[in-house]
Amino acid sequence: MEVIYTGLRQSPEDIVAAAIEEDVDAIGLSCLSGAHMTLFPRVVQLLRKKRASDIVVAGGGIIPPEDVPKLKKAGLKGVFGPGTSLAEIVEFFEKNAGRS
Amino acid sequence: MPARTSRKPARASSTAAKLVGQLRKGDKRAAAKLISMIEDDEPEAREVLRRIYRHTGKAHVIGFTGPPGAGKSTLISRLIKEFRKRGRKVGVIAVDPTSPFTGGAILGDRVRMAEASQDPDVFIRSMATRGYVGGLALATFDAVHVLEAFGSDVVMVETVGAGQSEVEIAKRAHTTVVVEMPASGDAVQILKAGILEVGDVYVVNKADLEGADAMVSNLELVIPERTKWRPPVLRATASEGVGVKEIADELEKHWEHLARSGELAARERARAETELRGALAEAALRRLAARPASEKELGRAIERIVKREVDVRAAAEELLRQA
Repeated sequence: MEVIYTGLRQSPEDIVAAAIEEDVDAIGLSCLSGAHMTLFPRVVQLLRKKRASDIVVAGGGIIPPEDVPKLKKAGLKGVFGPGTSLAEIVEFFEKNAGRS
Repeated sequence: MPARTSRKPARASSTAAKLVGQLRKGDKRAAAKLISMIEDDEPEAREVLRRIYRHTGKAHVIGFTGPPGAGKSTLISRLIKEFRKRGRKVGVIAVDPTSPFTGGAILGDRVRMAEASQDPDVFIRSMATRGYVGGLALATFDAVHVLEAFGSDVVMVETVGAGQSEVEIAKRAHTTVVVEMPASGDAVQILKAGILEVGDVYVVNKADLEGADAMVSNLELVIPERTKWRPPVLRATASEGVGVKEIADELEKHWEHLARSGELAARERARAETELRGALAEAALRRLAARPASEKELGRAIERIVKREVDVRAAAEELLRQA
């Protein structure tokens, strides 16, 4: 598995542009500011607009449980709240973004 | 994700033709997909390379090498801006090492190049070495071709900055930039690193740190003149953008020098030779691996090597002869 780290404080536009250039299978987002309800779905929408909705999107951070179903409805395949184990996240990517 | 194995040739050629068409129109997604096909060594990849090859050879390919932490990524991010200011279309390939233990890689060069992502005339791609010892896989050379066909005027390749990759990038690139920093040690360390023969332009980055002057004068003392080109030693503080314009000027000057002196043609030949030898080695390996009995024969050869009946090289020669 190759992980491309793009750094902190990226806009959804930057993230999608990088994901397309790198031809990734999945995007993992992290947001601790509380803006996840705006930023996460925006990444999914931009991918759709660029005809790249085959890219799996997952997000984590300080996400209250009641936001999880809303984010999943917005197109996030995985949502990880506080306390999620690393093993769980790795398993998610292996299952949803792994190429044989 | 589509399966990566054995698509029908007819389908392969139409997929390749379509993607190459989109690439020529400057479609980033097509460029990205093509590089992935090459990286993963998909069956269509060769068809793609056949189709794009005639659109290559016009871009100025610049290689960057130097120890980790010298500021290669930061310098490249500043040069992207400078070349864009000069109206050039820019491609970047940043190579990071693959872990020999897990086969995975963390690619972090993009962090310092984030600003340029949304510019349609800048394309940045990270690549992992994927087990290739020299740090520059054949796939990297091919990815450079894709960015040339994408219409880039300048393609910058950032290497891992260790060992053999220096020599290889020098053979492959038109201009090789060696990035050093004051803390890299004295002239003896630099001599030992074997980088004195490869650089066309030397940059002492982080020139605001102590020891920069000594570094510059040591380098100037030991760098040999190369065919009618005296490699300049430039100071920079890339993080502040200081010295970047001067570096871009020297890079363009070297490009003009290559064209004027006829060295460009000589380097083209050298590049073709490097790539041909690499491709030959790959093709030989592939042919060997594709034979149905190869696993069995490999096993037999291993047994014989362990029993000291045959040495490794002779066994390899034998297997190759049968292929």
